[in-house]
Amino acid sequence: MMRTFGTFVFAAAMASPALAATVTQAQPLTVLGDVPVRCKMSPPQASDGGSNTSFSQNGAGGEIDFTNFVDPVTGKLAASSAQIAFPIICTGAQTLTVTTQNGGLTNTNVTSPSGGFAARADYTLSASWASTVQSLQTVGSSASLDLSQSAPQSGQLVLNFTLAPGNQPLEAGSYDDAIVVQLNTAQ
Amino acid sequence: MRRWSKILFAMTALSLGIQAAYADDPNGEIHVKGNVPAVCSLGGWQKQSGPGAFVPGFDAVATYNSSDLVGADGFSALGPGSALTFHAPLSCNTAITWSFSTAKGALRLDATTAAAPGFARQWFYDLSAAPYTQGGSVVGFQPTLTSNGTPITESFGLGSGDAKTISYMGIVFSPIAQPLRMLAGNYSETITLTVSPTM
Repeated sequence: MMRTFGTFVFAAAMASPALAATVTQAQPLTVLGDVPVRCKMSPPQASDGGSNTSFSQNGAGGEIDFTNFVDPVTGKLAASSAQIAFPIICTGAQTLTVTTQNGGLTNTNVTSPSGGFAARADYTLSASWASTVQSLQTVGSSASLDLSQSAPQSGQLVLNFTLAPGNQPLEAGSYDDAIVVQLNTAQ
Repeated sequence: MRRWSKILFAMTALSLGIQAAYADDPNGEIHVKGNVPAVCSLGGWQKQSGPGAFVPGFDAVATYNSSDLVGADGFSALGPGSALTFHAPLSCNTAITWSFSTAKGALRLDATTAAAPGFARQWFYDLSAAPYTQGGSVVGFQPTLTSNGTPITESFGLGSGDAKTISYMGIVFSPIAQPLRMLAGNYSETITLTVSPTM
């Protein structure tokens, strides 16, 4: 009889989904959440007046126009500058690059400049984001600045565009370049 | 005749032996004794409502989806609408003390990412815990607290009469909306329920 009773008790304990105990039972419940990195870049804005330039914001981008691109008498580049800021916020690590597509203000209608005239106006581009400052001088081919950060950041990406006075007259025509800012999460 | 005499003598001797064996219990009673210990049976956590995934059991884990936590702009999306409700079956045959404790006092970022101005790294929450009858009535106390970022433990006692009416323990975890953008990373909080039978 005793063996039968013992067997019954054992079977009941095995069938129960709960813990029966005469001692303290502690049961943890953990709540978890994984917050992904989010980045947001707002449309650019002129952060100061610059010189010999004007800036107009257009959608997510904008355009720098020159008041006097060249000296009207000599046809040589006039000194110009612009400072453009992109408000950016990232909740985690991010990659941020600034790329000049043409590597200089280029007259794409002129394939081979001649007669002492130039068809490209090089400029200096510097960028500062968080604690990183980088700059480049255009040389006619695409180039990039890498301002990526491993920590969350909130602030402004500031681009400084500087065109030095030239010593060579430029071919007549339209000159342009595109400066592309790319922001991505890095997780 | 001599053979029968021997048999009768043997039966008499056997009868005397039996009498001697029961001499200590002249009334012929047999006592059967048993002892039922004070015991509580606590089942694993089960999620009743709320968003996200859930692994039930004695060391349960509830996980919010990323889209439950933040929006596309990185701002917090958690709030009262993200409340989680859990039950754990409980049956006790005696008085109990029960308590709950929080590990952090916030659903907080685990990583050692430096605090950055303009970002948040934790959600506070409202927490209520209570024992319930099978019909859903609170037994005894139903403490509620609003976390403030520090661990907390609260303990309560219930007499045998109340304790024996308990069907389950219930917890409601209700995050408080956070107005800032949330730092990326893994957030966690652990709430521990403790039940002790008392004599």
